[in-house]
Amino acid sequence: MRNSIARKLLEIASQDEKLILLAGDIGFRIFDEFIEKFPDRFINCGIAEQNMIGVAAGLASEGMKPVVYTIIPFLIMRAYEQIRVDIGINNQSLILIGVGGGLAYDKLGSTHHAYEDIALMRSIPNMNIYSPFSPINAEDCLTKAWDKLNGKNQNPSYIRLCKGGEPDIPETKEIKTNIFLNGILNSSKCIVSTGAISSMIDTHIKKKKTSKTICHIIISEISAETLLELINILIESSIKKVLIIEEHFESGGLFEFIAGILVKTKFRIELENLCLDKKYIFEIFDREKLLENNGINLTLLDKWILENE
Amino acid sequence: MKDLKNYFQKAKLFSYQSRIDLTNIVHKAKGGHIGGSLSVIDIMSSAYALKEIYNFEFILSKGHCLLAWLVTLVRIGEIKINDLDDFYKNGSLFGGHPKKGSLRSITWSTGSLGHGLSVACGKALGNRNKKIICVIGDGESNEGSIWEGFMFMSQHKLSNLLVIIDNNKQESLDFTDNILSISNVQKRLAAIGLKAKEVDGHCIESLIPIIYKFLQNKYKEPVVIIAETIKGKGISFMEKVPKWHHRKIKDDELAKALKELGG
Repeated sequence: MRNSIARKLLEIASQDEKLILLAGDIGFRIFDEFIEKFPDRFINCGIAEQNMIGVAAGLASEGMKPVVYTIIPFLIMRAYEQIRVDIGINNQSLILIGVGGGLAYDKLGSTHHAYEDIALMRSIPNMNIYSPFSPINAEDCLTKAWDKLNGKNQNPSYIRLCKGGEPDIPETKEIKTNIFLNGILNSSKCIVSTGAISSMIDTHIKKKKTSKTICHIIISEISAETLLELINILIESSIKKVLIIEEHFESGGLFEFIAGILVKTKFRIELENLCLDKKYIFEIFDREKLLENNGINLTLLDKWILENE
Repeated sequence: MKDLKNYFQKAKLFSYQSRIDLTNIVHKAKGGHIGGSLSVIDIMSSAYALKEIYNFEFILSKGHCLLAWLVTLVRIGEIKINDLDDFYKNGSLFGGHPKKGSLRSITWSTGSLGHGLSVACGKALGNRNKKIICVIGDGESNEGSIWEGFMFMSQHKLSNLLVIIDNNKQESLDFTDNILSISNVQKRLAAIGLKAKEVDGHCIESLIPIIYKFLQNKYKEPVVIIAETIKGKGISFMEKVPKWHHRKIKDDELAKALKELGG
C-alpha cells in the first residue's frame, strides 16, 4: 500500500502544483522519486508531529494542498489535539495518511500498534476516513480523498494504510461507492470487513471448503453514508446474519458504527464481530499470530460459518 | 528610517484607551483574562499602529488575551466599542478565545495553547510574500509544540514571520519560574538558531522600530522579540499578582483601576 500511495501522490503532484507532501521522518525510500522531481514540495518535518499538523493546517489556509504522512500513533494520537483544533475547528482541508493500521507493525510492539485510530478520527466532524484493503484500493482511496479535498465542501481525509506487501483481491468488484463484493450475494449471511485484514480473510475463505458459499463485503470508507448503503444492500439481499471483522478495538470501530446505524432503522440483522481485544499487546509475534491470540482468530470465522449454514 | 514619532504617539493613545476599555469590559462581563491582556496590550498597539501602512496577518497564539485584541481592533475602526457590549454574554460573537471569521482580522481560532506558532509557520512557508505576526506567551512556552515550532521556523528561515513572546513571567497559578521556567529564553532561542531581541514590552519606542523593520522586509532572518512585560501592567494592585490571571473586577476595584489608568 505504501508504494502504491507514493506512486499515486507523484502522479497527482505532477498535475497539481499545490500538492505539498509533509512527512514525519518516515517513508524510507518510498518518496525518493517524489523528492527528486519536486524537492520544494517535500518537507521532512522531523519527529515533531504536533508541529507538522499545525504547519500543514497553516499551509492549507494559504491555498496549498498538504498531504501528511507518518506512522499512525504519531500522526493521530500524538497530534490529536492539533487535528482537532487546527484541522477540525479551523476547518482546513488536507489529507492525513497513516501507515501501520492495526497490528501491521507487529513486532515493533505496542507503541507502534494502532487499534484506536478509527474511533478517534470518527470524532472529528467532517473528517473522511478511508480504510483501503489493497494497493490498488489505496490508490483509489487517495483519488477519492483528493476529489473531496478539491470538492465543494473541501473536507479533510484520513487514509489508514497497513504497511507494505499486501496482495490485491482481484475478484473483488465495487458494487456501490466504497463497497466491494467478493462472491455472490445469494445466502442469508455474509462477512463484512475493512482494511488490510480483508485479504487475509479472503485467503482464509478460499482455503476452506466449508466457506465456499460465503460472501464477503469489504468497506473502504468508514462513513455513515457508506454504511447506510451497506445496510440497504444487506436488506435488499435478505441477509439475516453478518459477521464484522476489523483490525481495531470494538470501541468506536466499524462494528459499533454499523450497529449504531442499524438500530435507528426498522430492520433487524443479527450482528456478530471479531475485533481486537481491548488491551495493549506486548507479545512479540508476527501479525497473523498476534491477531489469532488477541481476538481475531479466523477459526472462529469457520465456526461462525458452520453454525450459520 | 522614516520618522516613527507619529506612530509612537498613536500606539500610546491606543494603549491608553485600550487599557481603560478592557478594564470596563471585564468589570461588566464579570470575568476575563485581564492580567495577560494588560501585559500584551502595548505589543498589540505597536503592531496595529502600523497597520495603516503595512498589512500583516495576526495570529494570537495565547488566545485567552482575545479582549486585548478586540479593543485594539476598536482602535483601528474594525469594530465599534459598542460591539463589545455583549462580550462574553449569551449569544455574543465573542467568547473567551478568538473564533476564526468572527472579525476580518481574526483568521484563526485559538485557545488551546501551543498551536498558533506552528500554524503561523505553515502560513509563512505557504506564502512567502505575506507578513505574519504571532504572539505567544511565556507560560504557553511550557508546551513542547512551541519549541517544535521554533525549530521549524529556524530550519526553514521563515523571515516573513515575526514571533513576539509576551514574557510576563506568570502563568495561571504562579510565576513561570516556579512552574516550568523559560529563563534565559534568549539563549535557548539562540541555541535553536534564532536571534531574539530582548525589549521592554511596554516601551512603544522599542517595539515599533523592530515591527516596522520587519514589515519593511529589512530582516533576512527569522525575527523573535522577547517582550519583557508585567502581567496586569498599569493597574498597581493587579501587577505581578497571580490571582489576576482571570478574575472579576469588583465595583470599588474598578474605580481604583480607572483612576490609575486616568480613565
